[in-house]
Order: sequence, then structure tokens, then C-alpha cells
Amino acid sequence: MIMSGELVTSTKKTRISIMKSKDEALQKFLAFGVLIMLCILFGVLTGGSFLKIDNLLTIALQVTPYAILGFGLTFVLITGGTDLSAGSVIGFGGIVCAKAVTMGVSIPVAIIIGILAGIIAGLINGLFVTKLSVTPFIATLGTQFAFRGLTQLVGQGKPVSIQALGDEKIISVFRFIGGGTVFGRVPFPTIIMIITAIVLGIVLSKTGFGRRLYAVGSNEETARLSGINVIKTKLTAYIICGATASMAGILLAARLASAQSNAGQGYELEGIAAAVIGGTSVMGGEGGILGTVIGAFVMGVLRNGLNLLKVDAFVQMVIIGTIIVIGVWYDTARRKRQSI
Amino acid sequence: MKKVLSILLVCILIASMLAGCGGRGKESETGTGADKGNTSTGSTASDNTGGGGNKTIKIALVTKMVDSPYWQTVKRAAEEKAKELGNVEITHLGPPTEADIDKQVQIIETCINDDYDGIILAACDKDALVEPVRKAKQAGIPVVMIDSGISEPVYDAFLATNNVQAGAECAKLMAELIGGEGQVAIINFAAGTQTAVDRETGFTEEIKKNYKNIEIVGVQYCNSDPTVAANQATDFISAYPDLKGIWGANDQSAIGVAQAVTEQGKSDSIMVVGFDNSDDIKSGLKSGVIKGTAVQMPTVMGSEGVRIVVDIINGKAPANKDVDTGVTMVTTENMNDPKIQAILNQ
Repeated sequence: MIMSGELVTSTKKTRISIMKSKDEALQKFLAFGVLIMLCILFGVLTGGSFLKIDNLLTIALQVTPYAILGFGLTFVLITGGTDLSAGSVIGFGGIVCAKAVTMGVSIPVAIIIGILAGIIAGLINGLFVTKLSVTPFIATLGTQFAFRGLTQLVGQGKPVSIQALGDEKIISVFRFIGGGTVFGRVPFPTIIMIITAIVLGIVLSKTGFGRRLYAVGSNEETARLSGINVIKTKLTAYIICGATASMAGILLAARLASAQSNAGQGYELEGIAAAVIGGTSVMGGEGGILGTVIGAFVMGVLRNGLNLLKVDAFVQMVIIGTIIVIGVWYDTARRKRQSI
Repeated sequence: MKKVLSILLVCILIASMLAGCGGRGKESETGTGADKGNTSTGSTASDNTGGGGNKTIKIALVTKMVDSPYWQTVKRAAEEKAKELGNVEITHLGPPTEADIDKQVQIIETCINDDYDGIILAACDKDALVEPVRKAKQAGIPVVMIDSGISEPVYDAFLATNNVQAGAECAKLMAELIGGEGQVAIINFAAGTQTAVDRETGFTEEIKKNYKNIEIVGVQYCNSDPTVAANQATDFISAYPDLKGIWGANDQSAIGVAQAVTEQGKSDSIMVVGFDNSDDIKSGLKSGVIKGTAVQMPTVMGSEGVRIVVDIINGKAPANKDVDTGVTMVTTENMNDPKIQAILNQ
């Protein structure tokens, strides 16, 4: 009986996944096309200064925290969930890491502690969503406040300054992690972002866990009936999200050599926007890491390009907001067309 | 799922109702002192009560919260002034966080019942605190506002930083640093917040009025996020290759700007002026990336607050109702002056 059940779902799954991969490739291609178009547009409008290598590398540095956060959110979104606490976890991971350093812990250990803080935060989110069956939106809205409160507690409402330690060696190591360059001009955090993207991309597309994630997001009941441990799968997604959020937080704190207790406020929406522009569905079951990278770059290019074009700050907000809505509208329309 | 959610919502509803009742209950049984947990311990300053032979003047210092270093500085300055005057006793009270407006209202009501002789108040909310202040005044208790005022001028005096003036001071320093000409950008910390608007207005008006050769190329709003400020400053630097200076209108903005200028290797050619003071700002001044910052004077708020309350009790009305406590421009040049050091470490 189990055998036949597995057989049925596996054939169904392959059919779904073939359909999906074609569809997703289209969305990714479109997002990529939009990105290239934006680059050409800004390149022309700024008389080439946008396309200077230095500016492109600046954009890469600017989008890095949003992209890394977006990777984790992609996992959660694929399960059909969401994580509104991710921005708070950025602050939490960063401040825990910085606090550890100011207390004399060595840098690598402090970074591990910071990431562990994020993992625990993710675990808590995951437990609320799975074991206690609280709607992800509500659960993570609550933990958004709770983790921000914890962050403020650790910092006593103030930034935890690594700069104030006055130890040039520690400061320079952190500044390198957060904003240093390798191979001449490539920002180091961007290298970390690329490595994270490759690792998580492989996890998502080439492992059993990745396939289970899509199955849970497409249809939780079917996934459960076909023997997938839904709770474990979802829990892992939230833990990955917590880990990436705290990674982003550590990079932000490292760049300034100071962890702000309000770091990451509102970043969860940037991360979700990056994922959605890149073709991840907020309804679950669809999405990928490469798409999120492209989505993050679309947002970053827009911001940088509009700044270079000297567009008024308030007008920029209107433009960026409109583009996000258009992106999501297009995605929904495409899905509707397909289901017909 | 739906059932769990609805149960959860009902629980929240009941909890909030209970909390509401609890609050009201507490209010009606005031008279025994404000919430014990929020009274900072050992804040009674003077024990030489018999010194002057006069009756001890009891002043309540009610701040937006108790634990933050900023308010502790205010409290210390108030206590020092109290000691100097001799027969004054300061009690520091405040809600747990700035958002607990109801708690602060209760605290003021308790102060009225507790026969305090004077109140120094930093309002959590400009509207909600109007009534309590009016009540205190009706009970014959002088009220001096510090830092954050209320929407109706029912108080005796208001001591605060005039942010328009402070913004203008930053503009003057910036103009001096860049030699009176060139392009300048602004990273403000919020759009539409009164403090932020005032600072920006002060800065831009001063430049427009007195420095015709300085052009303000743009304003960006970083929401007090230094990383965002750094990104915006970097983009300003890319967009305006001849940029001479960037002003960060609060501490987080300034830190972000300093970071961007350092990363771009422009700390010698682009002048960074900040606002406020923090460990990171101090490091920035020390390393020379931040050329100057406007430091507010919480000590003046504390000590002048006490002086004015005591004056009113002794029948001397304050000369001006609104008092600008001013800012001190701390620069890389004057920062080692002991007087400035004291302000920087206040």
C-alpha cells in the first residue's frame, strides 16, 4: 500500500515539477530581462556612470544583506509560510555577535554564537508554526516584537560598538568581513553571498529535502499522506531562515563595526520583495535561489540608479513600491492564465 | 487552524480587557507612590535636609523612561543642582518604556496626590500629557517641561534643544570646513518627524541665507539605519564626484555616512558633520572621519530644570517660557579640551 502510494505521488510530483521548472525558468528569465533592461536604461540615462565597474560593485555590496535574507525567506515562502520576524532576527544575530566580541570572545566563536542565536530564533518560529499551528503571519508578527525586544535588551537600547573597544585588529577584521574587498575590488560580503546562494541553491534543487519543501508548499495534505514529515520540513525551513537572517545581521554589524539595536527593521519586506520579484510565490510551492538573487539586484539597481539620476527621495519610494506591485501582479496573472 | 486562531484572538481580547481594568484600578488607588518597579532606587539626592533650616523642596523628575543613559545624565545633573541648592530632594520616576504613555499619565497624577512641590517632565506624548499637567498646575504645583514638550502651553517653562538652531549650527560648521563653497548632501534620519524636519530646515535655511556658494544637492532619509545611510551616502558620492561634505542629521545617519566615506577612501576630501553623540561617533571623531558633531545638553536640562522649579516656588517667574538649552559643536580640533571632553562624556 505504501509502495503504491509513493509511486502515485512520485509520478505526480515529476509531472508537477516539470511543469513548474518550465514556468519558473520563464519567470526567472523575465526577471533577468527586467534587470538587464534596467541596467541599460540607467546606463544610458546616467551617461555611463551607472555601468562603471565601481558602481556595479557598490550595488553588489548594497544588495548583499537583502539577498542573503531573501534566501532564507525563499525557503519559508516555498512552504507557503512567511517570516515577518526576519528583520528582528537580523538585529538579534548582529547584536549577540557584537556583544560576544565585546565580552572578549574570539571572532570566529562570536560569529558562530551570532548564527546560533538566529538558528534558535528560527527554531522558535518553526515550533509556533508547526507544533502549535499558529498561522505563520501571526506567529512571526509576534516574534518580530519579541526578538526586537531581546535585541534591545542585549544592547540596553544602545548600539553595541566594536569600534569603542579600540582594538584596531578586531575592528579591521570586522570591517573586512562587512565591507572589505578581495581580488582588487570585489566586496568580501558579496563573495559570502554567492557561496551561500550556491550552497542553498543546491540544497533546494538537488536534495530530497528541497523536493519535500516544494511538495509541502504545493499541497501540504498530499505531502503528509505521501509520507513526508511536514513538521520537520517546515521547521528546517524556518531554521534556515533564522540562520540567514543572523548572517545578514552579522555582516551589517561588521560593516559598521557596531551592532545597532534597530538594525534590520523592515528588511523582512525587502527580502520578501526580492524573492517574489524573482519568481517565488507567496502562496507556496514555487521559487528558487537564483530568482531571489535577481530580485534583490532589481531592487538594488533601482535604488542606486534612481539615486544616481538624482530622483527625489519620496518619488523613489513611489516608483519602487509601484514596481513591486507590478511584479506581483504579473506573477498572479501568469499563474491564473496557466490554471485556465 | 481557524479554531486555534480564534481562541488565540479571544485570549488576547480578554487579556487586553483585564490589563485595561488593572490600569484603571491602580489609578484609583494612587497616593502610595508611583509604580514601585519604575522608581529608580537611591535617587534621592540630598540628605542634608536640615541644612538651610527651610522646609525641604520635593521635586519629581519624570522622564520618558528611567534606564537609558540619556535620562540618567539628566537625573545626575538635576541631583547635582539639588545638592548645590541644599534643601531640594529629587525623585526620579518614569514609565518602563517611552511608549507607556498611560503609565506616565498615572505617574503625574500620583505626583499630584503625593504633595510634590514641583514637577520636571519630559512628555512621552504631546497630547496625552496636557491634562495631567493642567491638573498639576491647578493643584498649585509648578511644572517645567524638558526635552519633549506638550501641545498646549499650560506649563511654566520648556527647556529643550532648539533643533532649528542646532541644524543651523551644523550648517555653519560644514561651511567652515569646506571653505564656504561647493556641493553638500544631507542624510536625514526620518521624513516627517518634527525633530528631523526642524534640523533639516535649520541647516538648509542657514546655507541659503548666508552661504550663496554652497549647493545642497539632495536629501535622503535613512530611517535611522546606518547601513541605509551608508548606501545613500555612497550613491551621493558616485552621483556627485565633486561633493565636498555630507551632513548626517542624527548619530546613526552620521555613522553610516562616515562608513561610506571611509569605504570610498574620501575621508580627506569629503567633510562629515554629525549630530548627537555615541560611542561610534566618538570613534569617528577620534579617527578624524567625522569632523564635528552637535551634542545636545541633557545636563543643562536637568540642572536648569531644578533651578527654575525652585525659583518659581520662591516666587520668581522664569524670564522666558521657552528656553533653548543649545548644542555644543564638538570638532576634531576642540575634542581634547577638558571642558568639551566633559560634554562628550556627559
